[in-house]
Amino acid sequence: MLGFGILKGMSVTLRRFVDTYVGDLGKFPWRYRSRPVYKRMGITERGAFTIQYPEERVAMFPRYRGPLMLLTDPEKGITRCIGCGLCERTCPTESIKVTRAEEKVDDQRVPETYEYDMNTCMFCGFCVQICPQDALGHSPELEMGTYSKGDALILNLDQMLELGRKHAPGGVWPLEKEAEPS
Amino acid sequence: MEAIQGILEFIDQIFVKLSFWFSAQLANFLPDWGVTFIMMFATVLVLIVFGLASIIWINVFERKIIGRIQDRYGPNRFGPWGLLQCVADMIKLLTKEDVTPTKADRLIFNLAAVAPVIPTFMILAVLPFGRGMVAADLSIGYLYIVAVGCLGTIAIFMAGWSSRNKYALLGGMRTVAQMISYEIPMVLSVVGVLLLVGSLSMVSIVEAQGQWRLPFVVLQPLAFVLYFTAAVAEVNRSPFDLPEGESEIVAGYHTEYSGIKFAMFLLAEYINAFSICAIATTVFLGGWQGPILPSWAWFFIKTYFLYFVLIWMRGTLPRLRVDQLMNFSWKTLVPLALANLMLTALVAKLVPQYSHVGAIAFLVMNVVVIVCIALVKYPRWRRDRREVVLVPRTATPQVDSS
Repeated sequence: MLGFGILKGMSVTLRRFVDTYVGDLGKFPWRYRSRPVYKRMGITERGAFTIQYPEERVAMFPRYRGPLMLLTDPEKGITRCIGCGLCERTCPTESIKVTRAEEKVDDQRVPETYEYDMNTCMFCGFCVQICPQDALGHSPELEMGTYSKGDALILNLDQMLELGRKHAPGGVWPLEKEAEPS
Repeated sequence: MEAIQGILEFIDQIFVKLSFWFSAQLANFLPDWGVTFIMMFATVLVLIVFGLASIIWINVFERKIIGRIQDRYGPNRFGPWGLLQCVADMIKLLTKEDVTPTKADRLIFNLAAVAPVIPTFMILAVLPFGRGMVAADLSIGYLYIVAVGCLGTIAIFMAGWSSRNKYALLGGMRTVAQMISYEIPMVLSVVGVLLLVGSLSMVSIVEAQGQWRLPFVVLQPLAFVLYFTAAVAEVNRSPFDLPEGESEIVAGYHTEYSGIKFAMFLLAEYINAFSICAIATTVFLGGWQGPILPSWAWFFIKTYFLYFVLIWMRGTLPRLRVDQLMNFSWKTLVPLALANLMLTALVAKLVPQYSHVGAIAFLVMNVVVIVCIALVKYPRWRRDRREVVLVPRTATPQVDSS
């Protein structure tokens, strides 16, 4: 009635406006880095909760389907992949090419080459599902931008193993959810 | 003390003195008419550059405040604190492809992109930015503002009509309906002030507030609220941004515009918003008058405070429906403005000018008007609407066979 509702609404927005500055003053010298992301997102929290992307990142959720990686068995120290080629055959977009090595390593078949083409991959995850050794996983890699199509987006065996060692040291996918520090 | 006053006086008059110095320099080698001619162009140039330059940071100001209201930081990447964001925006807009639809009315389509900017800059000519800082002190200042302000409607309707796009046309139609409806309360609410001043000149309006030793917002608070509401609708800003309501009609009248032409509409919108704040400052908040600080500083402080309120409203209020919009103008604002105008005329005759008795009488009058309207619009004695009981229809309706 008579615009009291408007005044009430405007007082709410003014409070939120002021609160962002109060929040900024609270973490004065390090505006973007002092308060962790998960703490800012609570509904009772006041102040801006923007994640300032290049400076701070959110961990990807465990089942995020990023580019493929080859997982390494931490006990044996070699990849779990036996180069059977099931992923190659199941891939709907034919983005994977595998060849199997002649010799066994550590009494296990290993792939000789592995070529994964991110240009055509649609991240459906069929290869990960079908892998009999659970040797494939999706890496939580987010920044895959390149300046050109083509070779830059084709990963070879070494690169995929490297991704696996980097993101899944335990050799398991889905990845463990990162424990939130209290 | 004398020295401090002298310095303050100098800072206050710095722009006026600069202009005198410039014309004196010109007079060395030019005849009188030449000096006048060049000074006219210089003034126009200063106003246009001021208008364009103020956009650069009004834009950032607005986006940052809206961001803060919504619990996020606004633009903060380009330049210190994101202050250069507008430069990036402008580069983007200027380098974009400039599309003219094949079926559009080419001449009007292109004219319409330029047309809204011209009246907005023309309004700046009569605004007193400080003591003695007015480009043209017209004796019909406010009438000029109303007349020139109306031209923006035509430009927007031209844009809507010539695009040959149904959303653009709908947006244009809405704009015409809205602007014409809200022009009336906007003008009527200021007429009360004009009655007190006895002149239409913007400078004399400011000087009259000096004589009352009160800004007119104290004498005419109702008129101020009415003016500000109607003016927000007049420049198509939220919550009255129906002409470009993106959830209903894609982008309204500028749906088909891109690149530099779209930038022109944006420019006109921002300068319009600035100038309604400036007019409200001049008419109701005492213009450039204020203690200690130089006069132009006071003018800009008041104007940007009102602009902040405008942004604040944009961040708070949802958009009105079309029928609510028309009802609000014709059933609430226009009757209130008329009542305010008539009572102001009456009180202005009864009480002495420039006196405390007069001020109190005007305040009482405003309270009376507001209370009366409240009683009429929300009567306690009005019965609640009767509950309508819906009788379920029977399968075979009972037909009276008599």
